Amino acid sequence: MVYRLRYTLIILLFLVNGYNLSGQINLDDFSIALIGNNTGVEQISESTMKAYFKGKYNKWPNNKTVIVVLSSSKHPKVELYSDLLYNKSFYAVKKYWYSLVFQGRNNPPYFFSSDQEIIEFVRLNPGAIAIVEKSSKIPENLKIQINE
Amino acid sequence: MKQIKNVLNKQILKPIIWCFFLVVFSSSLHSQNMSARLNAYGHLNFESVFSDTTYSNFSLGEQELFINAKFNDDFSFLGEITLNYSGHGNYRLNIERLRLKYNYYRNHSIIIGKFHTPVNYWNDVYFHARLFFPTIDRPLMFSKWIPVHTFGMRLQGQNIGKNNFGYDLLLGSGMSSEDIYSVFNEPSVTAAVHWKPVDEMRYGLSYYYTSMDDASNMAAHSHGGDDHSMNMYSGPLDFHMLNASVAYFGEKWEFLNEFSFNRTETDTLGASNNVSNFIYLGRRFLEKNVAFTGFDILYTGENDLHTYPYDRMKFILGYKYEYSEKLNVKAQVEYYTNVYDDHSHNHALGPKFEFKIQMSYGL
Repeated sequence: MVYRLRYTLIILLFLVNGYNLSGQINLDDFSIALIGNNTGVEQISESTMKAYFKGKYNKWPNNKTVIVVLSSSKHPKVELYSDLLYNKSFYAVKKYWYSLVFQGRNNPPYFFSSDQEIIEFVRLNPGAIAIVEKSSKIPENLKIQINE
Repeated sequence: MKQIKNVLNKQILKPIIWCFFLVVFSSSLHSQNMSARLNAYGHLNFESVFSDTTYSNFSLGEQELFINAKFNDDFSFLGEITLNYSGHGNYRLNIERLRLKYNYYRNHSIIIGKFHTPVNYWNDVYFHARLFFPTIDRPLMFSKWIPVHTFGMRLQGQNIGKNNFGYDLLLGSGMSSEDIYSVFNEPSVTAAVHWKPVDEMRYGLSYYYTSMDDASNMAAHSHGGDDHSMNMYSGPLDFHMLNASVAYFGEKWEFLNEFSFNRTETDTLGASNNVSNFIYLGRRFLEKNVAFTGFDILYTGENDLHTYPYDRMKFILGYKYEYSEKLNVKAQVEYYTNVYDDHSHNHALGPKFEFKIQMSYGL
């Protein structure tokens, strides 16, 4: 009885840990970088970063308005980026934002079809935040480090 | 009491609102980076009704323009205008929302203008665009007592803390006036809170109060359904309302429960307790398909002089297909019946079946 209980607990522990591990997607594993312009933030946790992308915060600590920049349907990595940031398909991400904007709770995000377009938009707009591939040409002043 | 109301309206609230408008416009004039986006929403309806008489209609539903603009980092604007068929080739134009928002600190804002009264999830999240509705129709309570719009001032906070707590505190016009011209004749107070423990879920509670001088004057009930009748009682009435919402729209399952209780008080017939509940359950499959069912019930007391005695139940079975996030079609079968079959409520409407198809879109 004791052994059975022990085995059950070990299996449960494995399942719980396995579930948690599969739920954590590290941007670094996919060679993805976080970029932002004049956000007042140089380091950020992954959960806080996702909260910004989900429109949960309107402003950065320096009082700049948060501008969410996302990949459009023509972007080659659109499904990966959507999964990393929202754990949803791009279709579900569009629905999510469409509803938020209609409620008047958030300003709409900006969508671009390549990493270079995203970087250029972020470079020109203070408060903008986006993710791009690390291999892209990213100006040093736009890089934000993600803490584990 | 009336003198206090007038002092409050004329000497305190109106000057504050005018000052706010002036600040907003002077600020926007100096702004270099104003941005605006325009969207349009609409729907087409087909319905067949099987009751004592049977008929079918194919109609152009509500069409609307939605504008969202940002003056600068702190000030934004939202406008919503609808166009409704009003018979004989005529259309009625309504300003549904027109509001200026000042984001004064992090996730805290002050909003003035005309907006959807944040009494429940449906009114706060969907109201006009059928594209977002989980079912074809609104819950029954909307055609009877939900104050859809309010013109006034609102303090709003959202996504505060770990559980994404939000609040709305609103002082504005009552049910007799939801527009600019007769604002604050009969003020209303709304206090609402909500929290989102996970992304897809939202719990909400609200309290609404208004005191009416003439209960027959119901501007906020302009969205009445075909069962709605004019209120014949033109005396004073106090209206208290409590609402509770639970919403979950996940990847596979969708659930929404809207509960509403109100108590009306008149010198003529005393207090009446009225209640309504709408429940929706949907199952999403293959990403763009949703099969759903729902149950809606509404019951008012015999001595109610706001809604008048009324009882109704509605069963819903439907299917939604989303061609894209901006175009969907819903088909729905509805069965209406009365709560009491013994005619103890002398307003029995009898059972009826309805079959509806709705195509809704956003551009």
